[in-house]
Amino acid sequence: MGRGVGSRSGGGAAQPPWHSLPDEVWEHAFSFLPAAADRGAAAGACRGWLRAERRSRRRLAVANCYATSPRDAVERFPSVRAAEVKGKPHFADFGLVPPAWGAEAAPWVAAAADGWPLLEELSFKRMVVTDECLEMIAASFRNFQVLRLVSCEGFSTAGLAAITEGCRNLRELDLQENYIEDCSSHWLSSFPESFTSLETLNFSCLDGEVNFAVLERLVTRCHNLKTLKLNNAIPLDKVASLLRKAPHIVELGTGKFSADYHPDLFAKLEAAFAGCKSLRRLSGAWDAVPDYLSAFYGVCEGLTSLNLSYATVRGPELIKFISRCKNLQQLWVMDLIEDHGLAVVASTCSKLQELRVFPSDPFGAGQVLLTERGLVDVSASCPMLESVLYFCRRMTNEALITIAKNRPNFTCFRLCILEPRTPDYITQQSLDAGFSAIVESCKGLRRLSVSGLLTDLVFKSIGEHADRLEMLSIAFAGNSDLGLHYILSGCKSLKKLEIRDCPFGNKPLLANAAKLETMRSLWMSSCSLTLGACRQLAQKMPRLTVEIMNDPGRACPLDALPDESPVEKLYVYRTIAGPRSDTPDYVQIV
Amino acid sequence: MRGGPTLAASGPGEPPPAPAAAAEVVEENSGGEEELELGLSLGSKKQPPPPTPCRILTARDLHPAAALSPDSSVSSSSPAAASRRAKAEEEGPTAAASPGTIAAGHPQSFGVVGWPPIRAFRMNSLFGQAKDNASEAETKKTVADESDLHKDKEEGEKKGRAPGWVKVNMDGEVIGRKVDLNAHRSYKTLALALEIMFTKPSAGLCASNSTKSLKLLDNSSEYQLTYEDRDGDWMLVGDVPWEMFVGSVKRLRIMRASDANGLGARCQAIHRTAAATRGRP
Repeated sequence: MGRGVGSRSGGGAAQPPWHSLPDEVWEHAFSFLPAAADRGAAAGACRGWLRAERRSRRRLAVANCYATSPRDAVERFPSVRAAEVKGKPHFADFGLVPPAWGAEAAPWVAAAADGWPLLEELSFKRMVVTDECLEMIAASFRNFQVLRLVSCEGFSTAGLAAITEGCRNLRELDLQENYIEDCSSHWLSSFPESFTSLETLNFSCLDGEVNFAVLERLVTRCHNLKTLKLNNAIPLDKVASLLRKAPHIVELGTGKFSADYHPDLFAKLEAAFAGCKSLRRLSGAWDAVPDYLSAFYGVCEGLTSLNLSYATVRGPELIKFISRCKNLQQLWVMDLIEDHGLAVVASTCSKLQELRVFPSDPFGAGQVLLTERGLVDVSASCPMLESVLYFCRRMTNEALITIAKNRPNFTCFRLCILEPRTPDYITQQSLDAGFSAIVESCKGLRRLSVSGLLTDLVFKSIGEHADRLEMLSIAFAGNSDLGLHYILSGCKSLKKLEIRDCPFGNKPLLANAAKLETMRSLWMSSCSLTLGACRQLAQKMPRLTVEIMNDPGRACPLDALPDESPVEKLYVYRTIAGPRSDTPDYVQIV
Repeated sequence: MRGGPTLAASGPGEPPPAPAAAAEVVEENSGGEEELELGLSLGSKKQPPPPTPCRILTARDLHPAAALSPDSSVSSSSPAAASRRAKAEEEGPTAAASPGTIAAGHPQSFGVVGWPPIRAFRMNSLFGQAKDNASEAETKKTVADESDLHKDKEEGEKKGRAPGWVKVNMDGEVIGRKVDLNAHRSYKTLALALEIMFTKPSAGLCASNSTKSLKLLDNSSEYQLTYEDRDGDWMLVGDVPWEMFVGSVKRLRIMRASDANGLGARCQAIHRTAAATRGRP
């Protein structure tokens, strides 16, 4: 959304000829600008373009639900057909935001029901979605087609039943990692028998049982079904039956893939998979008996995406499987794959673009042999690799420098060394040199997470070199205020900054207050901030909302506290809506 | 006076990161009573150290060869975490023998909220509430271990299921039974009760004659007692402490031993209930 609305007057004696073109022409022209950033820029050119652009905008992404009020958003963009709204700060994923913080979807649904009757798609991430919201969605939008809920909570299967029953043109029901209360509601049965439009059905995060016969009938009659992600309640033999009914499936989530070995079940599965010629994406929570993995071999060649990050398959079977997946572009695995498994990935998956390696035992003593070597191998041999999320226990500057040299095309680099402040395990130095090499080499880097032992110097490098960096996550790093100052005074494109447990204080925050208005949000927790500085910041920057989070157990209201009081959690974001009115007790807007 | 970090001279063993020495080692925030003396200049301002310094320790401070001292810990700004860490360190150091293993392989970050940064959804799916427990959810523990650290808390459990009556099915029997787990205090009494339930009346209640006895807790018996846990996994009964079993059991099944063989193979480090400790291949 363009923030600065430049209103260049078209005054002057001779107006350019295009000023007389009707709005519809501009609207048509803008329809060729799919990227929101481009449309925003166009809207900033002049009033005429602003008017034409906003009236023709079809897709709206609100990255922070509090950046604007729902009514304003709906009024400004009256023709929206697809809206995506995100709520809680990212660190809420890790339990750093107490419950009842806010981010309710209800005001958005209400405003949309009023102003966007033709809405077709709605997507919520990290928000509180209630059953009433779902009922309202089902009742308000005649042509509703796509519902995507990611990391949300607050609803139950009863709400889902309202959707499945009421949305006659539903194409996608995509539930990713939500907390859904199981009311034993027959949401799946609520799809009418005449309903056939489903293309995507993802209920992998649902805990409860589903009526398999109903599911099978649904899958059979929805000929366009491309994506089917099952939950853990569906046993293996049923998976085989479903696949026979939907052989044109493109993406499959198998749910819990575990069973004792039976040769006839194996044969069933193998035959079912052999029939799935279009299968490209595979996921599931595999406790797979290794003997079953070979039932998949028929589809390996065609797979472009493999998500085994919930699968506890151990190294050797995993490697045999992956070594057949020559066309993989996206691979998510557990660290059970170990270094030698990643070496196989490196030599097999030449088209790999994204790799994520999750820890199987984050609190354990580290028996898994996954080290920096795995990442070095993959980045050396996979020329298209651009996105990495890597959990490991040790790292060296040399490895990072090698990675940086081999892979200057990283756009997303997230390294998490499990133990905070871990130094280079060979030299015992900080990892400043390694991460500096990353940002210096990868000019297109948009997202970065750093870890290990780091001093202020690494932030100097990041501030200077990471020109395209939009999101930066920092934990247990830095020595002084300088670190934060380097970031805020550099990093030209920074949008989201999240920091925890770093010795950063008030001065760099106040000195770079203006920078915060160019960013979407800033999160700082367990740093060295005081209340006084936050008050100052809020006073200085009226278009920022400065939220302080107290320990929910603490009774004392923030008003009464002196300036010197430490601030445990700070969340600052720009907004045109003013301070929100739905804060819980433990949040104070200064 | 304002709280905050102070610039201080580098501690011993901490060389300045670069000749320019732009950044110096800073004392961790120790309570907010120190004078804030801060400049953004790159000079080397030396301040007197605050009364209670807590240095940022690095692995170099820890002797890699020797066992990890229980006092060595990575400092954190959260005092509560330190006490949780102290508990976690009881489990003992890992063998630092393998070359290149980091000296601080000990899980010292344990107890810090939200670290490592793994989505809560993933944590719950894979590890249950393992975050709050000590990390010996591992396969190291032997069966009869009375581990007091296995505090299998129910807090945060989405479906607060009251322990009590659970279904019991036996292979070959169409009709199932129900047993009240609250009425038992150990596996022995449970096994006995089940045996009474499921052996044919003609065999008599006296189980001393082994021809009809199920011997449910005996590995070599024809039948094995298994249970479905919270995660939906079928596990062998008897591995974990009784209280933990009661907390996670959903239902029971008396399997024929041939069917139960597959269970032993599924020993994965991430399951809290360590089925692998039976040492099956």
